[in-house]
Amino acid sequence: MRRAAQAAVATAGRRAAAWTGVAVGFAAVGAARSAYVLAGLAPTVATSAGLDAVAVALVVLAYAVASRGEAARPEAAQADAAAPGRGGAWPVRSLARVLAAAGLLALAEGAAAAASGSVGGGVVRGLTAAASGLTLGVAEAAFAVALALGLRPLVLFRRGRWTVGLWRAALGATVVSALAWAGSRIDVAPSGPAVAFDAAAIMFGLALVLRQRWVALLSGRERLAAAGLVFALFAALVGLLALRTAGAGGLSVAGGPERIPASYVLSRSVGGLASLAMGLGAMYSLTAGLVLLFGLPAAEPARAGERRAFQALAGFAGSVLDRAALVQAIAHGPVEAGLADAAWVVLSDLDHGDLTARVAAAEGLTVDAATAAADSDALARAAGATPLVLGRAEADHRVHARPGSGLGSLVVLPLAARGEAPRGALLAARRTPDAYEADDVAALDAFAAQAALALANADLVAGALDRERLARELALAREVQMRLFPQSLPCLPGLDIAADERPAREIGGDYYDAITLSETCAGVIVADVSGKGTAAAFHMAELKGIFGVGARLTRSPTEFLCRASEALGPSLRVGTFVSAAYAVVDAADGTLAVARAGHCPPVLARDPALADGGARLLRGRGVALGLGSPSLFRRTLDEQTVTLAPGDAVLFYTDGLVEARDAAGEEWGYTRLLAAAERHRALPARAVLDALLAEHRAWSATPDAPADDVTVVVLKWKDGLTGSAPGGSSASHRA
Amino acid sequence: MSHFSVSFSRLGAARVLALSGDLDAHTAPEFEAALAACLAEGGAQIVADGSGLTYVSSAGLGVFMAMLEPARAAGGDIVIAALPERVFETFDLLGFPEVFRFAPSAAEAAALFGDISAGETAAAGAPAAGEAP
Repeated sequence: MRRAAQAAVATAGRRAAAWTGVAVGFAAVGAARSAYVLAGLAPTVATSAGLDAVAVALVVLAYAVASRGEAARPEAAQADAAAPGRGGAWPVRSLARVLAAAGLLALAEGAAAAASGSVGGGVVRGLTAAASGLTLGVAEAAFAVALALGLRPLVLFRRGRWTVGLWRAALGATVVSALAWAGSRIDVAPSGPAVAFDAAAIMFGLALVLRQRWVALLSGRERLAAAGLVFALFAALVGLLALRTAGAGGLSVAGGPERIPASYVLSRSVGGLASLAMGLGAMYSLTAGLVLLFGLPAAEPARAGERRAFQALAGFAGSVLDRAALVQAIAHGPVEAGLADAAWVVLSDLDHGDLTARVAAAEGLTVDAATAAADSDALARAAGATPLVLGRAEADHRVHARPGSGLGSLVVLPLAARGEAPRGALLAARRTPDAYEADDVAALDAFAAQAALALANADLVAGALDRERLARELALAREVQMRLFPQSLPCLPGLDIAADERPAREIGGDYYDAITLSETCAGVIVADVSGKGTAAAFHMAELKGIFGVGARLTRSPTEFLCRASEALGPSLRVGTFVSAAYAVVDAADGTLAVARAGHCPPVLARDPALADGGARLLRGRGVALGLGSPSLFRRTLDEQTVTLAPGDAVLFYTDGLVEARDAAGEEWGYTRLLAAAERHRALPARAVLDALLAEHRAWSATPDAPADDVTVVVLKWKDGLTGSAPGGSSASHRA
Repeated sequence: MSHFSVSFSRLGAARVLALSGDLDAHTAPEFEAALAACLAEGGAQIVADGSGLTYVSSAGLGVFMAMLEPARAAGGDIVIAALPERVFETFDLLGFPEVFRFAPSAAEAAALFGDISAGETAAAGAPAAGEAP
């Protein structure tokens, strides 16, 4: 802050010195001219040329200092940029100031003419003429500067490279033309070079008169005011030109009818410069008036460009499937609209945890060049939620581009859909500094908001597509899973088996199978792979293969599970395990051998009237497959052998059955399972299964979408002892 | 919906991870990250204080399994302490007491690490298995 204040003080000091220099310079030139007039002498050509050159240099200096003063008020420009609604008034204010200056000059010229008419002859008359000529000369020089400064923002509004070039060329030609007059007598006809440069300045001026884009800023009433002002200015300038030469204010040359401006007494060059400036100003103000009155299309191309940009984006927003094309269209928009010479889009990839915004697309330069040109990420952060305008981009520490590399001004526009944090930024650059007016920024901001919305929609659609693809994969996995369940169950005399599997919405890892081992023996397995999804389904398929081959090799549940553990172990990821209960039942003598590898204990439900009746859990020791080493597995696995009584029911199931929760979050649990098993044990296997599942459904808070797969296998032995129901088996799945 | 949290503390040489809430497929990664962080800091003697656990799913159990070998390889162990009966049931069903050491409280679990340094790992599972209802 302090350094800035010191710099401001230093700048103010330099400006004051420059103004003093200009004033002293004009005083010196005026004094020299007065001395010659008083002495009645004509200066030599060299002296006169020197004085003229100094006078022109002073005008150029005055223009330079005054325009620096304008540029040194960035906060004013910022204020205009921040409030686009007020932006329309400045052309009117600027024109009013120029018109006021013209009025003051006209008053001065009139007063001088009146003075020259009223005073007598001789020396007094000569002195008066000299004094008024000198005063008018300085006044015209000052007016020329004021006129240039007043019209400059209008001409250069929404500047392009060409406009700036033409403006500089016109100024340069005017100055050179003035210098070409240096040293010539005030009453001679124009010299060849001077006329040529005059013509050049007028040519450049003609090229500039159509630069009237500022007109688009104005509201209807402001247009009227501006039209009045520019016509008044045109009239004032034409009047001034006439007043200086043809009117009473002019000096007569050698007694002839031709008159020259009184200000030529100060400097022929500065007088010529003022004439040229007034002429160019008159041309520009006349054109502006016509544009304002008849709505000539000078201001239209930019608007048409904006429309094109929005149309391009709207076209791409419809095809949201191609995000890369959409991002490219966003970068293309400002360039297409003529709102930028180059533009690029930076986006942060939040899906992959990358917070740094990187260049995703660029228009008017390569992606690499855009990446190298500026620290776009820092700029996007600095912008936050509002546009950031850098009038002199190359001076910013976040811009790496060298001066002259085409990054004059830069606008950083956050890409934020309504109510969201910005997902990136759109950066628009122009080659010329200070090239962004308030309404440019407003148009870009509107475009960026639209672009952000299109991006958000594209992301939404992409998310929906991802989900759909996932759903298709899950459906496929579910289909594979359903094929893994047995299509038929063993059918042995005295044995009644029923099985059911109710899938959760997510693919679980439940598996069951039953296989005929001999004329009297059957094997029944129920298993649960930890985890869900396709990985679980894969392990299920593996288990089915192991079961299909391995179960036939042995009648010992322990032996089979140990081999299964060895076979399955290497393919199980650490942390994934498979619980399984495997039973081999001999339908002839009712021997049931069961081993439990970390699985839910099977339920044995027996007629309570019998000695060891009631329902109980067959709870042998054993760890899940994949939980420990093969030796630990074999060491801990504990096989139980039960001799079934006629009418006994054995239930195998997965944890989805006991862990189902009611609305209050309470689990169905083993107590209710045992009670239900005891209640329904006398029914045939299928009926036991259905009754159990009906009770379970009634308990569950979400019966139609169980949190986990529910698998139940019911085995009944010698149900037909009473002769009422023959053995039969049924399996069913509900997908 | 399901809430879960892990908090760290120390008890002697042991790091105590106090678990509370539902340890299921959604919250298991959080627990896994906590265990991994503990191991990465060199704290291999870990007590999982399950007194606040309300539910554990196979995914949660999988985390214990996955981190046990790294802990033992680093010269430590994971001791599961103070499980509510219903939660212990789930561990017990899968045979965890055959593989893991269980303790009735975090303090007793931390005390077990004295045994490890003395090289008496063999019998450690036995008292825990006695906890099973």
